[in-house]
Amino acid sequence: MKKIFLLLCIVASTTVTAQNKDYIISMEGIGAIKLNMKQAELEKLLKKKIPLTNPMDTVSGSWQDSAKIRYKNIDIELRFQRGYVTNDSFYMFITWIGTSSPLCKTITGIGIGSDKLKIISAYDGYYLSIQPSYLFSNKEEEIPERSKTMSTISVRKEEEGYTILFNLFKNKVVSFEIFPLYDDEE
Amino acid sequence: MKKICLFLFITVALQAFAQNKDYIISMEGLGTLKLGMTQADLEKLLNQKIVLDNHLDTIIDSYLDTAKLKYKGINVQLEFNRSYYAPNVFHMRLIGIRASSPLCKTASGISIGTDQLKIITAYPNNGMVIQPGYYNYYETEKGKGKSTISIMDDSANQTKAGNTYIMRLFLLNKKVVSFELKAQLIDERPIVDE
Repeated sequence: MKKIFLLLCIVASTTVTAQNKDYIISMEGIGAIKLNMKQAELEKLLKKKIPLTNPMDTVSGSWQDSAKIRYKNIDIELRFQRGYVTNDSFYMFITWIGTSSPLCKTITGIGIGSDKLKIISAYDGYYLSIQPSYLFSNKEEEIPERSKTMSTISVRKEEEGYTILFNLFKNKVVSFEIFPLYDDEE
Repeated sequence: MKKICLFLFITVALQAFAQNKDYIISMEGLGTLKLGMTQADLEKLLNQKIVLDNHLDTIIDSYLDTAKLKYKGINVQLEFNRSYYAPNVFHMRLIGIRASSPLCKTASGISIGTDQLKIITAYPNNGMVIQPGYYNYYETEKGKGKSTISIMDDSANQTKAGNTYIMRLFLLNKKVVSFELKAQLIDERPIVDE
C-alpha cells in the first residue's frame, strides 16, 4: 500500500512539474511555443492545422498574420511573418506571443497579479523600460492622454533583442507579450 | 539681546533656505542653472567667462562642447550645443549638467547615496529606463555594480513639439553616485516658407 502511494506521489509531482514547464514564460516564448517557430512546427506541436486568415497588412497580401490558439488549456495570441526561402517560396514564422493566462509564470514566479517592484527586483542587471500608457483619441491633432492606471514594463538582456513586455493595471501584471525589439522600432 | 538672536536666527535660516534652493535638482536644471540657457546668460549668472574649447565633435567644430566650472562652490560639468536662431547666426545653449555633489537634492530628497527603490517609488508616473552600466552618448561604461536610471519628464513620451528633459542617475551597487540632467531643446530657427 505504501509503495502504491509513493508511486502515485511521484507520478503526480512529475505531472505538475511538466505542466508548470508548459506555462513558463521566458524571453524565447511560452513553454514549447517559441519565437521564430515555423507554422508547420507549431501545427506539429499542437497536432492541428493553424489557418492564417487574419492578414495584418493589406498592401502586400498576408505578409503578416495572426492567430488565436489554445495550448494546454490556455489562450494564446500569435503573430506571424513571412520568411522567404527563395524569391517565390516562403514560410510563416512566429514574431509575437501574447497571453493573459494566470497559469503562465516566469521562472522567478512573476505572473498575473505580480507587482511592478517584484518585476524590477527579479530582473536585476537587465534592460528595463517602465512606461506609462497613452490613450489615443481618433482626433488627429489631439495630444494623447497619459493613462492614470495603465503602464508597461519591458525587459530584455541586451539593449536590443528578445523582450518580455508586462502590461500593468494599477501596477499589477494583467498580461504578457513576448517579441524581438530592435532600436529602430522604439 | 533677544531681538538680536531672533534676527540672527532668521538670517541664518533664510541663508540656508536660499542655499538649499541653489542645489535643487529638477528636470529643468540645477538651482538657477537652467537647461536651455545661452552661454551669455550663464556668464552673466556666474559672473565669469565660460571658455568652450572641448569640442565633442570634430566634423563641424564646436557644435557640441563642454566646460567644467564651479557653481555655488560645487563642481559641475556643463554641456552646450550650437543653436542657430537666425540664418548663419548661432549661440551656444546649455543642454546638459553633470555633478556628483552631496549638496544636490531633488525636491523629493533624492541625492548622492539614495537607493534605487526610493528613486523608482519617487517617480511612479514618469517613463523610466533602468540599464546596466553608465550610459553615455557613445559607449556605455560597463562594470560590476554600475547601473543607470533615466527618468523622462512628462512630455518626453508625447508627440507634441516642445523641450524634453531627462534626469539620469548613475548608481553603484544601487546607490546614486552622480547625476546628469539633459535637455532636447526645440529648434530656435524661424520656420521659413518654401
